[in-house]
Amino acid sequence: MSAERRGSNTIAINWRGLLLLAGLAGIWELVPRVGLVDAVLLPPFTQVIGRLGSLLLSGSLWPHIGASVWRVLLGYGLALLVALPVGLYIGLREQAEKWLGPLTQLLRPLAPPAWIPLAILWFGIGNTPAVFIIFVGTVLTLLLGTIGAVRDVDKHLVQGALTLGATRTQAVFQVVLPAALPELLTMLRLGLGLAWMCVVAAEMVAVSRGLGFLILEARNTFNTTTVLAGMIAIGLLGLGMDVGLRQLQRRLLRWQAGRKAYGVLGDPRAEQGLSGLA
Amino acid sequence: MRWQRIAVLILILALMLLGSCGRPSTALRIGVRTANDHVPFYISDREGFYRTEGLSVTTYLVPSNTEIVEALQRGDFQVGAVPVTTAIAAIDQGAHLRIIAMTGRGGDGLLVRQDSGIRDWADLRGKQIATIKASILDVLLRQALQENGLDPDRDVTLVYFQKLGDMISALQTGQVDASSNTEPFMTDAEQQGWGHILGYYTEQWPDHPCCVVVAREDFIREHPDELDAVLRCHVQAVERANADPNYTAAVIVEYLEAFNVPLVEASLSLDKMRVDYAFSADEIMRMARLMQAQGLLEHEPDTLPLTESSPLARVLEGR
Amino acid sequence: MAYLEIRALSKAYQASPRPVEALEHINLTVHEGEFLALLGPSGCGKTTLLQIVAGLEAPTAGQVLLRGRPVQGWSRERTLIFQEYSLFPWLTARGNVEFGLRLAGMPPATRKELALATLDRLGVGPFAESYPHQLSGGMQQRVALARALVLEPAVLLMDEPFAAVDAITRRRLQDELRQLQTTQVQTVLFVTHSVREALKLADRIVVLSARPATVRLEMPVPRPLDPADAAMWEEEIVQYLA
Repeated sequence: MSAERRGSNTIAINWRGLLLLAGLAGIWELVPRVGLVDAVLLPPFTQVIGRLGSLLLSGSLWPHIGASVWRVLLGYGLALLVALPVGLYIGLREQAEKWLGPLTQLLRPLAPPAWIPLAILWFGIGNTPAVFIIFVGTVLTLLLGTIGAVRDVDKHLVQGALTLGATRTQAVFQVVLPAALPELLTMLRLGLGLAWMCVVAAEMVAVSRGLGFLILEARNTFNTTTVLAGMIAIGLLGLGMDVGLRQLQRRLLRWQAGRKAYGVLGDPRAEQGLSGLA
Repeated sequence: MRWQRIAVLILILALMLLGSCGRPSTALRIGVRTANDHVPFYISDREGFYRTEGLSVTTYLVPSNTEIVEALQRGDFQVGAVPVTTAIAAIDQGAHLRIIAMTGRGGDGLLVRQDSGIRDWADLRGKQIATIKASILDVLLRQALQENGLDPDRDVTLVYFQKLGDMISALQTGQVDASSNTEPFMTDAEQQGWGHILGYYTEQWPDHPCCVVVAREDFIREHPDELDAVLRCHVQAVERANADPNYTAAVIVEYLEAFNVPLVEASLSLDKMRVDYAFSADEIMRMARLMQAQGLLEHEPDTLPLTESSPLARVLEGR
Repeated sequence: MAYLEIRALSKAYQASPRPVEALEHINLTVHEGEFLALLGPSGCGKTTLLQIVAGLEAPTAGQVLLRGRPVQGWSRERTLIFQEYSLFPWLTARGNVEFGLRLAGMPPATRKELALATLDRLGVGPFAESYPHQLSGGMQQRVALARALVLEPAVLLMDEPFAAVDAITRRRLQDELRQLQTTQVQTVLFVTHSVREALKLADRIVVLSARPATVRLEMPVPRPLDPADAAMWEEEIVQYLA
């Protein structure tokens, strides 16, 4: 087992997490093979992995992956484009929250599938309604998250900057944004997970490609093996993107290095620059 | 006042308990869809045919074929009614079900807009057709296209939906040019004035099976008497339905809580669709081979235990 | 001419059933190069006063004049230092000190040199490339001080800056601040609730009453301050604070 090494760019291997996954996979394999559960309801793990492999090798999975990834990036990207500036604007103004409160409470319970009829009505068929659903599924969370991150910025940081000669604009872009960045990046990662969750709902509208579509189609043809293979594919893609974002997070927040407690072997106190210096 | 309210509460609770205790041990659950050709089950339910046979049956109306099969697989239902393609696909994937009777034939076809100028299958070239992937609407559509000289993958664009209603709106709003659909939606569109039925798939396959009755294989084996009783009710209901279309339409409207009686009655005309109980293993196999030719099956149709015809044969003999 | 003048300053907050008066008719002058300590019980409004002088809040009545001209909003001429560690965590110590210089348009080489020199003067030169979280509380306040002083503000406003560090560090910081005053004179308006600290650092002490705050006592601090005198003054001032 190893903890992340501070300052290095290697991705730590979390052996314990992998061990747990391997254990679960083993149970998944045995339970249907032994007959505890009907293999029709739960195909064995190796069968599912085999299906995933053959789908990948035959090339038939890539168009689906491409379609879903493209929709996630587009829908999520649009949501960010809207939520970040608007959230920044609202977060900086105390009054704005009073205006927005009831509206957000009204919209919050609307899960992505609730938007499907409207999506078809407004945007017809194809990519647009799917992207729209991912957009509405994530934009509110991103907006509220951005507002929260901006609000959480210690006002002393801003006041300090102002009395060092900053204009309001300079304070916003050179102090508020960098100060809010850690929270914003965490929100970004969580939001991306949310976007992936929306993909299946989003692809219930009239699309003919995509991992969500693949899973739905497999379900309608009772192909549980492919359903599970598709789910694993989505999980892996989401994981991959999250790892990528985490790397970005580490790079942007290098100044935070050493501040977090890393696993068993990272001792937060044994770092340079502390203790012994009054 | 207060003790009176408590007494009423206790009384209600007691009645509920008694009510649930009173259920005979052979409680049967049948899952059917909200569709025209499942009306025999509505009739059996409405007219109490099951009670006459000494059965305690709860009929569940489920809007999704997939859910009915899943419930059958879980054992939540013992008998169900689903499209024949759904049944074959499920059995192909290992579901322990068998087709034991027919419930509906025909009723599927291609719908276009009045104003689209499409009057012939050839006019569909280059157009967008809405369909539900791998469903009976899709299988028969492909066959129809092929027999009319069109390649389903090259000469037209198939757009996949999940629900019949969504396809109707997409067609109406012009997002697609045609929709493979079913009754009574198609006659409804014509009566509303905007739709035009290009043709029924009975042109390619007269009297083709549409929806079938399926049962769990273990239920067939272990409870043959109850199964026979269910089939007797089904046969009786089918005969009743065919004898009185007006009544049948009324029952459909009542159970679907949609459409109106004249519309449904019009959609039940014999040249459009037919409620039936009889089936042959051959026609089921024909459908399975069609599905295989379209790449929808994993196994050879001949190897699949699709049908079990002895229960129905027994029931018909006994009449 | 008074360097910094606070004239008839009042501040009241909207509240129900009636507005809360924080400051009532404060009159105060600070002379150039003077270290003025503002003493008052907790919550009396000393922080509010400082915020108004810094231009972060507006008074309900009265004005603040710097070199005879009324102040408008905030400016680097009236830099504010807090007791909370207000350094920008994403910048190094040097980055923090350079912040104001960069805003003022100073070229990179010059501001780097100036920043390092100022950090040296405050005794934290070796930690120029460290991030705030790597520094102790005392170090951070020194960097905060460097960040403010490098801009040569007309008035340095300090809001209980040593209240959050331990007693030993506080004593050292006080000594260093006094030392700084001797080498480079700076006008300071220093808020504290510690009489001892005020006596140690200030040229003049102003005591504010409890809310609504008014000036209760003004006294120059005789230097050098004899320990016996200090004790006597302390006792007397404490009376005013009660």
